[in-house]
Amino acid sequence: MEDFGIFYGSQALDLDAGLYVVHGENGRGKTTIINAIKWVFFGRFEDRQGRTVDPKGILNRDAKREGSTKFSVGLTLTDDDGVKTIARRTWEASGDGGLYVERDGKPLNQAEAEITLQNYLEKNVARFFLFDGEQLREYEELLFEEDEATQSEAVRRSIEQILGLPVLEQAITDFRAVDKDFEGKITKLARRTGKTEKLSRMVEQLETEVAEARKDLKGLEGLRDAEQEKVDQAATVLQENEAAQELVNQMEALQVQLETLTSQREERVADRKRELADTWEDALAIAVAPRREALEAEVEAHEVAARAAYDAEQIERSLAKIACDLCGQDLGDEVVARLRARLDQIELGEAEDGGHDPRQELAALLRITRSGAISRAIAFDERISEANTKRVGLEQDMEKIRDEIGRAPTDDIRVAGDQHAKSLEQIGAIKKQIEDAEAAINEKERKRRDLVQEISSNSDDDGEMKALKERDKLAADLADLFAEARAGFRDNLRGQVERDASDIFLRLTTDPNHLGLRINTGYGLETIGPNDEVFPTRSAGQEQIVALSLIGALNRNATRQAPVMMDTPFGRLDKRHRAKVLAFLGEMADQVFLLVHSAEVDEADLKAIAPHIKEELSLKRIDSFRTEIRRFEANG
Amino acid sequence: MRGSSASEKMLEALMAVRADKFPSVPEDLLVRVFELEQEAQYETERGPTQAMLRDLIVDWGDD
Repeated sequence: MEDFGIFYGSQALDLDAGLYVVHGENGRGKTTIINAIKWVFFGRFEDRQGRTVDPKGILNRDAKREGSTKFSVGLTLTDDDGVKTIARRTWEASGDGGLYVERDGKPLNQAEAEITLQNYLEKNVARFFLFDGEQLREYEELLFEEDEATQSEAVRRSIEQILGLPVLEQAITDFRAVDKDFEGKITKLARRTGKTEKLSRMVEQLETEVAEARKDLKGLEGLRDAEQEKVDQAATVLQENEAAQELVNQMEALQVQLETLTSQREERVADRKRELADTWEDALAIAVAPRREALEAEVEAHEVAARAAYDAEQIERSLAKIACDLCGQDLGDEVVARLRARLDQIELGEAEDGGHDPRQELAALLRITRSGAISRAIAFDERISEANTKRVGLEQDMEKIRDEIGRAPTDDIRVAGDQHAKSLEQIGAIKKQIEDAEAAINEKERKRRDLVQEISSNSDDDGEMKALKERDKLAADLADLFAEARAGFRDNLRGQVERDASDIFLRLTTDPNHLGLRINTGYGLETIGPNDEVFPTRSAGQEQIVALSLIGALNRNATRQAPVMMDTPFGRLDKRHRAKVLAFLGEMADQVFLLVHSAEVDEADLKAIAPHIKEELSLKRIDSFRTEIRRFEANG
Repeated sequence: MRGSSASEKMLEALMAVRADKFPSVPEDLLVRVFELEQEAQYETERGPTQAMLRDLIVDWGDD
């Protein structure tokens, strides 16, 4: 590296096979080393927010102050056959920088240089070899998507590229093209004889239609890829703002509650208004209640007086006869005295009664009944008051959330969420169109082949035609052979990746209920427990373990050996998981490069794997803008 | 499975399919076209590779 990031001057890492541990505290350049490699391969790299870093900001500050206007990074790659490729990418403020690549001592032109590097490490594949433990989002689309239909095509293609499947797929494409070429020659040859001219013209017509259909198909695939890019971009925004997204969701839920509450409150207000219209009845009933009660007492007294008057009449009749009016018996003096006293009593009561009959007035008042409107109105009032209190509470909660969201780009998050959903829907629709288009093309191809077959059968089998037919058959057979082999090979390979990922996972996990991993057709991974049960959720640490298991499995099955570089891989792991990952690292690839800070691994951790460590290095702080790569010294 | 052994497995799979379903395809031709495809696996422009395969088939036929 020359004046790259925090690495002032020229600093190099000389690496062989084995496990290297590079110690560096925060800000000392661990991620810069990974970025340096990305710079060479891709001519760019992203910051933690996914934004491409401006090269002007990469030039080392002290070098810039000394007048330097360029930086560069060089890599020497040695492949399985021992062939060396040297690549150096330079940035120059004047714009004169560029890429230089020589392979096996021979300089390559620009196009060859870029293709050579791409062949070593394609951008989509890079994540499996340059592992950033703090950027798990890059792996989440692998680890979360259960449905192949929503799995990123780019991710699936990149995994299959590591596994070598493109060789078989390209062979199929190549042999189909060669087969078609021979069929074209057969058609032309048959046309010369005139026997099959009409059939030949039909073949040409179909070829034209297929060519057009393939153009349309390419257009659809372009649309699909464009929508997929929108999905990926939206997913990046959502994942980076996961916490804010959660707050936005809470806010939206509270908003819904608030709207419901407001609506209910309005209903209660209307109900109360309705009841208030009838409360006059209750008010009147309440007002007349004392008079009614008094009248009821009067009615009772009146009835008592009426009974007494009847008694008085009886007594007077008895006193007049000095004999009982009922039984006719003579009354004694004592009885007469008692009866006279009783009669006096009754007459006194009559005087008090005054003879007034209150029953009519009472009957009138009894018609004024309580409807209960006031009680109901009061009840609605209480509910309105409750709703007001709840509303205040909701608004306070929403205010708190607004503060927490702070400067989070909530509009961007909403837009990203909508875009994500919309684009996924579009992709689904486009995929269907692609399927239909492919089916239509296949049908036309089938018809074309049938026609060619017919032409072939109807042609004279002279020497030239016979040879062409044999070559055509051979090309077609080779295409079909590779297609057959690809299907079986892909399934076997996926099964092998599943077994290896599971095997590694069981070595890394600490949960005894984790029994393995299962891989779907999109290379998404599920954690399996007892009774084949799938664990529906995983913590961030567990996700990291699963991601490492997949990376380990892909490395085991890749057609090309590649080093694995891991930047801060232990941040989310507890001590036990960390120990297990460390113990496994030496087996992950032939060359493993571990960049860690002191809080991630301690002396005891590294002591346990010391026999496997090739070398320990450290990123030594010179000042805030300079780091030097040095041999590691404990307590240094 | 690594590098060359991954290729070996691929070739084994091809040979098995050949023996089972395409016995008329010459074994040595299959090996040769597979080698060609491996060498050209990173080529984006397929024309030259297809031309080589075509010539190989023609030459085999002539032999």
